[in-house]
Amino acid sequence: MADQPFDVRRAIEQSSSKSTLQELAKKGIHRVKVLDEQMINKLIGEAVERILSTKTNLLSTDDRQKLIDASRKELDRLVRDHQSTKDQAELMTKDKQSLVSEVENLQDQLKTTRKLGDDTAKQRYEDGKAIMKSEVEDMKRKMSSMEEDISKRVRREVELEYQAKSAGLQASIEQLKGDGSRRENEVRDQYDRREKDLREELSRREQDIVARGASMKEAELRTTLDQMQHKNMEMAEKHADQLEELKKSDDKVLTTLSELFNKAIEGVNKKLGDLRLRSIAGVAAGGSMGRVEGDVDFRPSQATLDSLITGELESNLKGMQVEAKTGGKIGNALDRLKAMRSGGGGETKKEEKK
Amino acid sequence: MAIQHGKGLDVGTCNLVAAEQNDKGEIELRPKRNVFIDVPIDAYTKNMLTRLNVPYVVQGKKMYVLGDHAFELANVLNKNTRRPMKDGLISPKEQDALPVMKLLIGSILGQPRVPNEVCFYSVPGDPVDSDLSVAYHRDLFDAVLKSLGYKPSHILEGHAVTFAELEEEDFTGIGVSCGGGMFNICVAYKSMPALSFSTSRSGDWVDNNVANVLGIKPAKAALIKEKGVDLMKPKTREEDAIAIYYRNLIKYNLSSICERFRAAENMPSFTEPVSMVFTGGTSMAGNFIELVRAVFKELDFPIPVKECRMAKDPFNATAKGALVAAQLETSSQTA
Ligand SMILES: Nc1ncnc2c1ncn2[C@@H]1O[C@H](COP(=O)(O)OP(=O)(O)OP(=O)(O)O)[C@@H](O)[C@H]1O
Ligand SMILES: [Mg+2]
Repeated sequence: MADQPFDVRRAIEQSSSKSTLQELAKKGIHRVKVLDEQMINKLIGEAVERILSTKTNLLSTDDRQKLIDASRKELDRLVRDHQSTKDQAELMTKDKQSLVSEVENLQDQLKTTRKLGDDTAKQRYEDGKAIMKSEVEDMKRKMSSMEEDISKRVRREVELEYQAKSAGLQASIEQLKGDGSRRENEVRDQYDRREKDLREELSRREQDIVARGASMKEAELRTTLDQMQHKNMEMAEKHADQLEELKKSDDKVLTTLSELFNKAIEGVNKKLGDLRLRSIAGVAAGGSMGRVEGDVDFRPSQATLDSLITGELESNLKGMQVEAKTGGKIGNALDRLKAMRSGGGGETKKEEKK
Repeated sequence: MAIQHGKGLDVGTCNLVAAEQNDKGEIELRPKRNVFIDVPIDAYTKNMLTRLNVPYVVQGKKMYVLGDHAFELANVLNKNTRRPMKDGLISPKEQDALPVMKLLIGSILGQPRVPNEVCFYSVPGDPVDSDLSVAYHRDLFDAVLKSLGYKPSHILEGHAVTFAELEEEDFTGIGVSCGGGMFNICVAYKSMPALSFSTSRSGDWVDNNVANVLGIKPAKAALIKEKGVDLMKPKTREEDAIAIYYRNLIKYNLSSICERFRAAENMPSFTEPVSMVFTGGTSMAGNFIELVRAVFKELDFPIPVKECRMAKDPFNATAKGALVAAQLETSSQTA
């Protein structure tokens, strides 16, 4: 467009209308100014020139140069930017691709690792199970042999202790018995000896008397005899006392003995209790020892219950409201049960049993 | 609607749950964790605990924080909790914990609504793998409930499960409660218990073993486990350990069930295959039933089983079943 010169003539032709002089006159126009084509061209040329010059004159040459430089710079920058964006975009696409493949790679690795892990875990589990099983078996065996050992050992301990205790007791009984009979013998010997002495004395004196004949008065003789008898009596009494004494000490020995015996038995009972507890503990730990026949359930006494249940503890719980959740309805369960129980639904059980 | 009297109580190694029916016919449930933990005894602590709504009790020279708070506290302080029960029973060793248990039970059971209201509590079946005395346990809890004003009676935990979960099958089938201390199993035939027993390997066993291999406290192991573990897809080392012991646990228990069933005399002959329904906290682990089904497939089960399924309300089934039993007893008394 800029290359084609402005065709003034054509422009005027296109943008004006033609009128005859008569028509103008009819409109009351009698005089017209006439511009020839050349003139118009000139005017336009001038106007354009003026505008151009005024416009371009807004900038000094310097400024214009600056502006041009700036524009160029800006252009350069834009070009560079464009280039780098393009680069980045390309890079990103590339990155994305490598990331994707990397992720895929990782996923693959993960899968393998997981599978490996699963396999190892499974294997480990199986191994562990096998080991555990043998360990458990081993433990079981050990436990039962231990149980046996323990019960054997404790039983033996109990027996030995019992034997030792009863042997000791037997010994002290024997000793005491020995003591008793020795003392009894002693007393008896003493008595016998004394009696013998007295009898000898008596016979000696009797012989004496006989020998002396009538020189001794009958009365005197009697007194002597009386004295002798008296002494004899005293001896007998003393003897009885001693025997009594002996009996008393025997009684004491008996009480001591029975006390000792009770204590020993208590010890044995405790040992037996321990044995039972130990066997129960063994069972709780996974053993297989059954309850001893005739074992009685351990039940709390009423006193124990009372002491546990009665009495209030200090607590802030009583003041707290415990929230309830609602969990549906009982539904027909109760009715159905009632019907079954009353209608003999449950009673059919016995008939259908194997 | 008239109130149905009678209450149910699940006396568990880990949790106590009380159940009663309100005047709208809904079941109200009050659970409480059966644990406590020592704390220093002083007035400041008491005040603070009361302000925080944390229950405590003073016994002799000791003070305990009770219930769920004790469990949380144990995990915060990395301490062990004190557990009055083990393997489903109160141990004679822990009998001085009984007054504390009485307090806990009183707080969830509330007052009897009529004098001598019937209360059924759950007891474990005879343990196949230990020799503990259930009679001693019953004596103690009879006494506790009497002293709280109730007329006590007991029901086997497995039997209670069948009451709560097998109504649609005419109370015929197998109920399994997977608790903290034990697995309780009951085969019921038309609501009657044909065979019931327990094993002393369950949630605590998992916790103890996991704690052992990871070198942590059992309470911590329980916490990780209860936060939710997918047994079929464990994600961490801890979860791996838990999943491994769970598999072992399920295998052990299902095999014990098989053995026990085979050895049992007087088993009813089931013409139709029955359902085996699983309840209890231990059954609440993610994908538990899938693992059960997987292990079950490997066994030659002596009773025809049509399905192994989760209970509708695994955590509360025992308490609900005990409640049904109490109501049944109450209505037979008044009838
Ligand atoms: N979401 C869970 N996932 C796995 N285990 C859980 C979850 N919630 C609770 N448990 C576990 O369940 C067990 C407690 O279950 P539950 O309350 O049924 O037992 P319990 O009745 O107290 O014990 P028991 O019947 O053996 O005497 C605990 O071992 C606990 O850690
Ligand atoms: Mg339970």
